[in-house]
Amino acid sequence: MKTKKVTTGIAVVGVLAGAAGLAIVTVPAGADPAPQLPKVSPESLVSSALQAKPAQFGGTVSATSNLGIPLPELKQGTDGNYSAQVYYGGGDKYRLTSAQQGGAQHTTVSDGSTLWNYGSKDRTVNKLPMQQVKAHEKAMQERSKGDPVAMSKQLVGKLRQSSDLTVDGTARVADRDAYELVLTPKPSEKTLVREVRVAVDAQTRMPLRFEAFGNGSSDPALEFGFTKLDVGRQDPALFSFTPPQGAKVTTVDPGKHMDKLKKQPKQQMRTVGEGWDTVLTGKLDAKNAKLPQGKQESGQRNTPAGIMDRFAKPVHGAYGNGHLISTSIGTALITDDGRFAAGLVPQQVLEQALGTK
Amino acid sequence: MSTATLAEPATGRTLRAGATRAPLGRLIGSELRWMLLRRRTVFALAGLALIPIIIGIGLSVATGSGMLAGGLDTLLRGNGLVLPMLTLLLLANLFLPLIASMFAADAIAGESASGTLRGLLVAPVGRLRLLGVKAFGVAVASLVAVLVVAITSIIIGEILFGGTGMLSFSGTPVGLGGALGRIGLAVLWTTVQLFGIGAVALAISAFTEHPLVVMASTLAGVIVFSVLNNISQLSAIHPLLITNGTMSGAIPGLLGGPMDLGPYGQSMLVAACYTVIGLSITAIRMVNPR
Repeated sequence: MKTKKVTTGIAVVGVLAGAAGLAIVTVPAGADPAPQLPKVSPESLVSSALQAKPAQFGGTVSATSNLGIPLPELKQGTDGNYSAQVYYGGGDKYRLTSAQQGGAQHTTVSDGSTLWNYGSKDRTVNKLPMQQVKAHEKAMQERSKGDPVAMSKQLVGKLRQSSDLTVDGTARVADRDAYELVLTPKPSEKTLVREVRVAVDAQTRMPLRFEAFGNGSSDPALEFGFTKLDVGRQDPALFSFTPPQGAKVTTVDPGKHMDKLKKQPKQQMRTVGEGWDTVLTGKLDAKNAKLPQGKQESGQRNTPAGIMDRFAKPVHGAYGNGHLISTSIGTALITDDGRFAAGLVPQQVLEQALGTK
Repeated sequence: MSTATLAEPATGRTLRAGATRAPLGRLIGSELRWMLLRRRTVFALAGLALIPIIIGIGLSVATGSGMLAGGLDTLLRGNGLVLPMLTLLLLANLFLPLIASMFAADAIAGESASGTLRGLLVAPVGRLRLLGVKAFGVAVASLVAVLVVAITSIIIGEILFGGTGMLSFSGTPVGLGGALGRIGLAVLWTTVQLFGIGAVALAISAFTEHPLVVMASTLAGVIVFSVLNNISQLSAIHPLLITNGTMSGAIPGLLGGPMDLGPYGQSMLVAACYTVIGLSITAIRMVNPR
C-alpha cells in the first residue's frame, strides 16, 4: 500500500500547510524587518518633510489609544480603535470615509470648490462652499509664509531646547520604507512622555505614523498612522460628489459660524511652563462648565457625572476639591469651582500650575 | 451518491486503473442529484428562501418607526438591493453553516449510517476521487443555498424597498450592473466561507457514522467561535477564527463607495486555509480507515 502512505503524507502536509497559511494570513502587520536606507540628519529630514509636495494617495489610517481610560470616541471602528479610508487627489481634493456606530458611515468629499459631508445614517448632505474656507486658509498661510528651510531650522531649534531630536533607524509602515524621527524630552523635563516617534516616508517624505510613548511602557499610549497606503494617481471620481436622490441637502454658511464663534465669550486660558512641561490652565464658564455630551446613542448616554465617576479620581489640595483624570502620557485636573489644568505632566506639576493662579 | 453507482461491477481495486473507472461527470452528476433533490434538501432550501422574506417584511415594517439601529432603515429606503447583503450577513453566522454541515454530514457519515458508503468504497472509484466528488457536492450545495438566499432577497428587496441600483455608504449611486456585481461578490464570499466550514464538517463526517454528531459538533464549533469572537480580550486570535469573517466587515466593505476589499480578501484566505485543513484531514481518514 504505497499509494496509501503517499496520500497520507501529502494530506498531512496539506494540514500543516493550511495551519501555516492561517498563521501567515493572520499575522499582525508591522512585523517587517527595518529597511536599509541612506542616513539623513534630523534637520534635513524635517526640512524635506516640510518642503515635500503632497503626492496623490489612497489608504487607511487608524488610531489606537492605550491611555488607560475609556474614550468612547476612539471605539468606533473594528477592534476598539478608530479607522478611516483616506484619499488625496492633489490640490484641495480629498475624500475621507469613517465608520460610525451601528454600521453607518460618514463621508467627507472635497472636490476643490465645495466640501461635502454625507452621513449614511440619516442620508443627509452638508454642503460648504470652499471660497470662504480657502480665504481663511490663505490668511493662515500668509501669516506663516516664509522659507521652508529657514522655518524647519527654526522649528528644529525650538524643539531642541527641550528635546533630543534624532533619526533612530528605519521602519516599515503600511508596506513602505520610512525613517523614524524621534523626539525625546530632555531629562530635566518633568513630562510623562518618554518619547514621540514619527515615521517619515523615505520616498515621499510624508509622515506615515505618529506614536507617543509614556514612561515605563513599551506599547505606544497613542498611535495614529497609515495601515495601508497606496501612493499614486487616484480615480478622479473619488473626488466628486453628487447628492443622491431623496437626500436632504443643507448649505452651511461658514461666515455665520465664525460670527457665532467670535461672539462667544473667550475662555480665560493661559499656559504655564514651557516645552514638554507646558500646562494649559483656565476657568470654565459656568455656562460651559459641562463636559461635551457623548453621542446620544440608546443606552450609551455619557453624562458628565457618569464620565467623571467612571475614570476620574477625586483629589484635593491647595486648590480645593477636584477630579483628576490621569493617563499614561498626560493628566488633567478639574476643580469643583470650574478651574482646570491639563498637560503631558504628572499631577504635582498641574497642582503647581493651579497654585500660581 | 445513489445506489445507481453501485451498478458498476464491484470487482475492486485489483483491476487496472482506467479500465473500469467510473466517468467523473457521471459520478458528480449522480452525487449532485442525490444531494440536491432529496426531500430534506428541498425542504431546507425552501425554508432558507422563507428567511429573506421574513427579514424583508420585518425590516419594512420597522422602517420609519425608528426602531432600527445604525440607520438600517435609511440604508434600505429605495435601496432594495442592499437586502441580499444584509440577509447573507445575518445568515452566514448560523443558518447557512447549519445547512452546509447538513450536506457534509450526509455526504460521508450519512452514507456510512445507511450502509451505502461501503458499496461506494468497493466500487471502482479511488478514495481520493470519491473525496473530490463529495467535496464538490458540498461546495455546489453550499452555492445553491447561498444563491437561494440571494435571489429571494433581491426579489423581496425590490418589491418592498424598490430602487434600480444601490446607494453606497458614501452616497454614491451604483448602477444595476455594479450592484449585481457586488451582490455576486457577496455570494462568492459567503459560499467560500461556508465551504470552509463544510470542509471541516466533512472531516468530522469521515470519522463518524452518525450524521447528527457532524451537525452538532460543527454548530457547536461555530457557536464557540462566535462567542470567542465577542470577547475583546481575545482579539489576538480573532483573525484565526473563520467566524471572524462576518465581523470583520467583509460584506459592509462591499457597500462602501469605493469598495473596501481588505477584510474581504483576508477572510477569503482564512476560509481557504480551513478548506485545505478540512479536506486534508478527510483525505487522511479516507485512505486510513479503521
